[in-house]
Parts: sequence; structure tokens; C-alpha cells
Amino acid sequence: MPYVVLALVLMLFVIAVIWIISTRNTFVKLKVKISEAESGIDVALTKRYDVLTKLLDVTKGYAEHEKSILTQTAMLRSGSTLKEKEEYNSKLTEAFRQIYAVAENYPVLTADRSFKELQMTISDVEEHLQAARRAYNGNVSIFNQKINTFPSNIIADSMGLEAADFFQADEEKRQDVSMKF
Amino acid sequence: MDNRQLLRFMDVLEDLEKQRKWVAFLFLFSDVPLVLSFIIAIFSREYYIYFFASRLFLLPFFLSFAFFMFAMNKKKLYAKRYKRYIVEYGINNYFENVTYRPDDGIDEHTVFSTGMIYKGNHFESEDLITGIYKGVPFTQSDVRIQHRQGKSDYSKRVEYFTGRWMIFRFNKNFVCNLQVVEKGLGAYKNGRDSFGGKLEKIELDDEAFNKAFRTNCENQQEAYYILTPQMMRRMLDLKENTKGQLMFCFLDNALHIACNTGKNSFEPPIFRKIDLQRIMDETYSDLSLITSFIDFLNLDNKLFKN
Repeated sequence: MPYVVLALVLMLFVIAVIWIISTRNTFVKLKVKISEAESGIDVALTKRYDVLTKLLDVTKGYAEHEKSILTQTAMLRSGSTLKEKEEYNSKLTEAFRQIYAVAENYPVLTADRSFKELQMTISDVEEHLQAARRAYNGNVSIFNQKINTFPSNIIADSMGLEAADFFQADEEKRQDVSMKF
Repeated sequence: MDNRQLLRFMDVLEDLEKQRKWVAFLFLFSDVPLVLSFIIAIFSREYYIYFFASRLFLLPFFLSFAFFMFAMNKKKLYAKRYKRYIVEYGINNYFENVTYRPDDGIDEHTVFSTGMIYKGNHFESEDLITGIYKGVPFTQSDVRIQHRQGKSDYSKRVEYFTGRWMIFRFNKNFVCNLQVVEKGLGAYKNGRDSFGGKLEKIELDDEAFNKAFRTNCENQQEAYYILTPQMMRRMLDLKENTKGQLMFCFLDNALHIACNTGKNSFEPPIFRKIDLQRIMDETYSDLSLITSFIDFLNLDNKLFKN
């Protein structure tokens, strides 16, 4: 009889150890996925900035204050926090909006082939950014659910994990950017 | 179709109807020896005993089988002619740029390159249609994948897939390979093993979509890029409106859509009259599956073009 009890205790102990290891690994994997998705956002933001500079080149001569737009929107700093990325994204959106506002007054510019091509690129970059944001938020959602539900929250607490922030995109502004001429 | 062609077509229809009646008669007649021996066995005890003692009971089975095989052979000829004239006529009416080859199909290698389904040991494919709709080149054929335990056509078999396989080709490669498979598809091979184990299972940001489909991909972000919220909604709508389970595979420059309908399309009627209107309706309904995918999934949009 004591052997049976001992075997049961030992079995429970082994199961608990396996569960702890697998839960810890799940958290580590999720953290990696979140940081991968965040770098996806960085890539999309950088592409967005590149397109902005190209757009400024094309609109040169039409938009007088293009220099001020570039100064307002410098390249994304490496190691920026999520909040900084959100702000940077808003700035880019604002910059695009300003350029489009100028372009609206020049039908010759909006009919220009390079301008039209850039518009298509912008739309593609916007879609990539949206995909990156959705991928990031999807991973954050799974991660946050895990660290807040029992029993995995015990492991999360022991690892000192905290809920991650979602990447908020100003949807209204983002849609304004993809306006068509 | 001018008057001469119309008259010829009507003649062919008449001939086909005669052929159909003959095939139907042969199928019914193939059951006669079995039914007769059964009736005699019920009404005559002596015959019944003699019948089993002399092993003559095997004779009606052989006779029935022989008639059945003969009927099958005639059915093949009838089906071939039916497809050549009636189905091809329907297909040409439905699409502008299309070719139909009833005896050909999508090759085994192309189907299994998607890594979505078990190979089994028997592969059949027929009714190959290639064409262009709304600028999207497509290929479709009926596909049957089975595991047969014996070598004969009538051996025990496990059905892995019976239905339509469609391939839509685009002028750009997808950045990553992506599989979306409806849950509950029995013969689904664990797709994550495909492509050298590079695929991983992901959950998307649509609960209903995750409940209905399992998704495997090489790159999570690219999967989100292809599977936009609108695309996922459309795929769910398609699932609701399509008979049979669906599989999608975005591979290289093609989208494979497999629909496990459990039936063979464009098959001729045997025991009912050839009603051209009804047949055309059925053919158009089968063909509308191809166009509905292009229309529903908006495959002619810029996501799939350079």
C-alpha cells in the first residue's frame, strides 16, 4: 500500500514538473512571437517612411513645406517603445495627409504616373502594416489570456511576466491616407 | 449554333437517349439472375436444397456479375459520348476561354504538392477544365483519392477525397505557403509536416474563422496579410454556401481549392431521361463553383497581381 501511494505521489510530481516546463516554454515562445511581430511592425513603419520620402520627391515643386514634413517625421529610432511607434505611425499618417491635401489642388500631379504608382505602393504598405499590427495584437491577446488565467498565471507570476500592450492604430486616420484621386 | 449544327446536336441527343435506355436496361437486367434464383429459392424447397448441394447457387452470381461488367463497359462509352457532346456544349456556353478534356485531370504530383491530404494508393482524376475567368487563369478537375486493400476495382477501400480540385494561378508568388483546412475533414494529413516541417499552426483574429478552419503557415505576418478580415469573412461565407468540406492552399503562384463533395461531377443520367434543360442547369451549377470562388474571394484583386 505505501508503495502505491509513493508511486502516485511520484507520478503527480513528474506530471507537475512536465507541466511547469511546458508552460514556461509556452511563455517563452509567446514572448519570442510577440517580439517577432513587433519587428514586423518596425519593418512596415520603415517601409511607410521610405514611401513618404519617395512621395515627397514626386511632389517636389508642388508642396512647398515638404522639408518641414520630413523634419517632423524623422526615421524610426531603433529600440523605440511601442508607445513611440504608435506616435510615429500617427506622425506618418499626418504627413501623408498633408501631402494629399496639397496634391488634391494639382490635377497634373495626381495624373502623374509615378504618383499613381506610389499610391499603389502606399496602399500595399498600409496593408502590410495592418497585417503586422493584427499579427502582433493576436499574439499579445493569446499571451495576455494565458498570464491572466489559472493555473498558468502562477508560472507567469513566478517569471515576473506582465500583460503586454496592444498596438493601437488610429483607424480613422489610417483610412484617410488611402484616399483615391 | 446555326441550324445545321442544331439539327446535328438534336440527332446526337436522340442517339444518346437510346444509348442511355440500353445502359439502364443492361443494369436492370444484370439483377435478373439473382432475383430469379431468390424467388425460386423462396417458393421451391427442393430446388433450394439441390441448388446449394450442387453449388449451382454460384451460377446466378456469375451471370449477374458478367451482365454488370458488360453494362459498366457500355456505360463508359455512353458517358464518354455524353461528356464529349453535352457537357462540353454546356461548358463552352458558360465560359468564353475554356478547354475541356474529359479523360484528363490534374496530375497527382500537383495535388500532393499541397501536402494537405493523405496519398493513399489510388489516384484518379478526370474532367479537366482549363480557362480564364475575369482575368484569372484556372484549372479544375474531379479528383478521387483512396486507399485500396486489394488490387481489384472492387476491393475494400478507404475514401480519402472525392470532389473537385481547383487551381487558380496568379502572376506573382505568395511570400509564404499557407494552408487553410476546414475542421472535421477526416482524411486531412497533418499539414504542418508538409514543406519540411516548416509550417506552424496559427490562430487568427477571428474566432468564428478559427472555429471553422485550421491554419498552417510559414510566416505568421504574411498569413495575416493574405487572410484579411474581409477574406476570412468571405471564406466563412463560402463554407456556408458550399456543399462539402473545403481546403485552401496558397502555394508559390497558385491558390489550390479542394472541395470534398463526395460526388463526381458531370456524370450522365442513367435511370432518368436526358432532359437538356435540367442537365444544363446541373452543369452550370457545377461550373458556378469555379466562378463563385473567384467572385467571392475577389481573386482578381491586386493582392494576387503584380
